[in-house]
This record gives sequence, C-alpha cells and structure tokens, in this order.
Amino acid sequence: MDADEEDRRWRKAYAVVLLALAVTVAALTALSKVAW
Amino acid sequence: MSGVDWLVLFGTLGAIVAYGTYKTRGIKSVGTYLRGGEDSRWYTVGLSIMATQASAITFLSTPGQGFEDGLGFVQFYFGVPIAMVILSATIVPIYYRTRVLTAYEYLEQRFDLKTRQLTAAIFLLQRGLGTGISIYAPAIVLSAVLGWPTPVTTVAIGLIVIAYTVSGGTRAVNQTQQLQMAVMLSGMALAVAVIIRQLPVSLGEAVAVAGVMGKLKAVDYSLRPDTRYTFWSGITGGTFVALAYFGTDQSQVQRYLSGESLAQTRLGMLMNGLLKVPMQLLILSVGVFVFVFFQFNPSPVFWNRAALERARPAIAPLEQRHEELFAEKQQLLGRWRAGEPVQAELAAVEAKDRDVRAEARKAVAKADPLANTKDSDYVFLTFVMTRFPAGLVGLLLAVILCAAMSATASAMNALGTTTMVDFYKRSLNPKVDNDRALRLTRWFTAGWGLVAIGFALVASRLDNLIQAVNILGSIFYGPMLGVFLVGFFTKRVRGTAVFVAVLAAQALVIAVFAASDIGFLWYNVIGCAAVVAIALAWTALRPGSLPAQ
Repeated sequence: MDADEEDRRWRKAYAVVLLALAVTVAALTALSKVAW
Repeated sequence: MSGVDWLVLFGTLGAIVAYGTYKTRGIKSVGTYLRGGEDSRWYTVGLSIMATQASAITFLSTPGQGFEDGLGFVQFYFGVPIAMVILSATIVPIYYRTRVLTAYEYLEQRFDLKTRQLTAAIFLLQRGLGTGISIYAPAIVLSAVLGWPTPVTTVAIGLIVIAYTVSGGTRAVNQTQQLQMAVMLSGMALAVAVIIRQLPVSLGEAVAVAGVMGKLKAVDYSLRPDTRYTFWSGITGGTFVALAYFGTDQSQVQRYLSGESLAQTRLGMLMNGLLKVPMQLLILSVGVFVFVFFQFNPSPVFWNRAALERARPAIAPLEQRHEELFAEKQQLLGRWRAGEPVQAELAAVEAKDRDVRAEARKAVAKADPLANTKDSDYVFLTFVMTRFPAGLVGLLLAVILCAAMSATASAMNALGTTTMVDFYKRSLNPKVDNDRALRLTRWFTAGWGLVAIGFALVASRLDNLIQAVNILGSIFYGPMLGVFLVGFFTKRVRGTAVFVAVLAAQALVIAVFAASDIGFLWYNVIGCAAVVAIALAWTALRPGSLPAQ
C-alpha cells in the first residue's frame, strides 16, 4: 500500500470517528428536546 | 459486606495484579521497562489510555453528576473524539518519527535542553501531587461508606500499585489496565442492569420520569457563560483540555508510545475517541436511574451519612421538609402516570427539594467545616452498599479500586520514566549502563509512589491543598500545550523565545488566578494563547534569535 492510499484510509477512519460523534450529539439533542 | 463480596473484591484485585506481574516477570532491558517492549496491539493501547483517564473519582463522582444534573456532563467529553483525531493526525506521528521516550524529550530536539527540563519539571510537580489526590479522593469516600480508616485504604492502594508498577514497568501497567478496564466496563454495565431491575416501574416509564424531571437534557446549545457544561464549552474547552492532557501529559503519552506501530497506536487512540462518550453516558445513566429509583423510595437529605449524623440537631427540620416533599412528589408522580399533565408542578417540587438539600449541605458545613459536603459523590456507593446483591457489592468496589489503581499506576510509571530520561540520564549520568538504569528507574518509580502516598496521607489534614493542586493543574496545562503547539506548528521559533514565553505566560496565568474570578477551564486557554503569542512576538522582534540561513 502506498503512502497516499494509507493517508486516504486514515482520513476515512478519522471521518468515521467524527461521524460517530455527530450521530451521538444528534441523538442526544433529539432526546433533550422530547416533551415528556 | 458479606464473605462473598470480600472474596470477589480480593479475588479480582489479586488476579489482576498477579497477571500483570507474571506477564512482565524477568524484564532485563530498560528500553522494555520504559516503552513496554513496543509490542502493544491497538486494543491494549486503547484500553490503557481509557484506564489511565478513568480514576476512582470518575466512578464515584460521575454517577453523582448524573443523579444531580442528569446527562449534561457528557458534553464535556465531546472534545475527546476531536482531540483523538487531531493528535493521531499530527502529534503522534512526530513522536514516532523522533523515537522519543518522553514527550519532553521531543522538546529538546525541537528547542533546547532548558525548555525540555522546564516542562518535565512542571510535569513532575503537577503529576506528583495529583497522584496523591487520585489515591486520597476515593479513600475518603470508601472510608465514609465502609468505615475503613482512610490511612489504611490510602496505603493499601498505594503499595499494591507500587509493587506491580515497579516490578514490570510500562508493560505491567498496560497489561493490568486491560483487565482493570474490562472489570470497570462490565461492572458498570451490570450496575445498570441491577438498578433497572430494582425500579418499581418499567424501563420506559423510568426513562419518562427521568425526562419529566429534566435529567435527560443532555445537550444545551445556549451561550450563557454561567452554564458550565454546554455543547459549545464541550466542543471548544473540552477539545482544548483533551489535547493538552492526551498530547503532552507523559502518563498518557507513555501509554500510546508502547504501541507496536504508529498504525496500532492510532487505532488505539481512535478506539478511545469512539468509546469515551458512550462510556461516560453509561456511567451518567447509572446516576440518572438511581435518581429515578429515589423518586419512588425515600432517600436521605444528605448522602454523606457520617457527616449527617454530626449535624443531627440542626438538620432535623430539613429532613422533615425533605420527607414532606417526597410525599408530594409521590402523589404528583401517581397523577402523572394516570395521564394528568402535572409536569410543571413536579418540576417545582423538585426545585424546592434541591433548595432543601442545599440548606442541608450548609448545615453540615457549619457543624463540621472539614466535612466533604459534595454529597453526590456518596450516592452511587451508598446505593451499591444498601441495594446490591451479595457478590456484586464486591465487584463494584473492585471497579472503584481498579480505577484508582490504573490511574495511579500510569502516573507513577510516567514520573519514574521522566525522572530517569529527562534528568538523570540526560544531565547527571549520560553513560549509565542498562542494569543500573533499570535499577534506578525502579527506585525513582517507587520513590514517586511513596511521595504520592505521603501526600495523600497529609491531604486529609490540608483540605485546601486539594483545591490548590487542582488549580495548579489548570495553571500549568495551558502553557504546556502552548509549548508543544509552537513546536509542532511553527518553524522559526527557537528555544529561548519559547522558554521566555512559558515563564511569562505562567506569571500571567498566576496573576489571572490571583486577581480575577475567571473559571479554571479558561486558564488553559489563556496560558496556551499567551505562550504562542509571546513566543511569536519574541521571534519577530528579535530577528537575531533566528537560526543562520
């Protein structure tokens, strides 16, 4: 695997972590807005 | 506590220590002792990073936070995944490329010796005292709830950690932390299950009760400066603190430098980024469910029982008021479950109850000025001791002690390493041979362990000292991050500029601390920004300090 390909794979891994954070924040925001 | 609990507690702790010692027996090379053999897989790195950050007070205070304020505290951890990505992409590859043993060693390669040893000395001071607190803080709670004398708990935790950290070094710390983390996570998951089983209502109703009482407001987008945990402070301040802690604190840096390769280390860090927020949510939800439980069962007006007893005559009317409000809440919850819209009334009664509990804290503080009035720290352990089945009580105590040991072990390991690498080997005896270096690093590690135990023992008599140590941490973290940022992201700034900048920024932060009421979190930002600004300004104004072209 060349360096560019490896960089691309790491960037994808970083995106996954940040996406997981975004999804968690969105879910928690929705939970915060529920009128119980 | 039953015999089964003692068996589970000592069996778990004994097995972990024995495993760590066995797996690291016969270490002959100082390199292996300091870097852990550089053969850790990503999951070992990830679990080790998580275990280092999880101190005992995490498992005592965080459920208490959930109990008092709901899920909002989770926002503080939103910065961790962001920091993990930034560090994996920037700082960690530099540490790997430069083959350093400590974070401060990099600073000599980038700047000069004085900058390296100044930052290393700051780390030793701050972490040396902080480690005492990480032993002392759980000891006071455990002694209050279990009746164990505080010095016994303090010395026992300290000596066990010294034993395996001194014997096996970095690898022993990493190996034991894997198991400690497994105990912590499974213990907390079991705790959630047990609490849910004890609830007098269904899970769905419990969640709804938590929602009605405002405990599920996890994200707050308001910009009010008086609200400590908001989305914005988490994303900015939280990222900042996480960058400083994970990027420059040797107790963390040493964990991920033990990775088999840069790729394994990065994966371990991203694992921490993925799991940290869910883990904190799990621990906070324990507190939220305990809160729901006590909407249907009577609770004390103040959770530190020993301190409550000492304030008894003054606190009696408050106890009575608390019971009346509980009865009112019961009635309203009954009506709410029958479909009546009484949410506003429930919130009003809850607010009154919070006022009564605040009054109780004042009464306790008046009766005993040295009492720990942050009684939410006692909620979870009290619940465990009084409501959990035999066996699980021992497991949950093992969780708390595992956390105390894992955080302490990383710190002792890092303190011993920094003393050897950044001071002894660098300045006193550069030609030290392998055997002597190994022997001395063990002595340094043990020495720092004893300093931590000693500090923990006197901390009980110097209550304000704990506060001072916490402030000390915030005062030093900002400039420390500033030095590394200047190192990583500028090319022109040299050693003297950054050295002067650290001293000036440190003086500025201390002045801000002495002369203003700005919250601790901001010291990090001010200190870091000051180092960067002063170092850049010094370089611009003194072109003579630039290297020859």
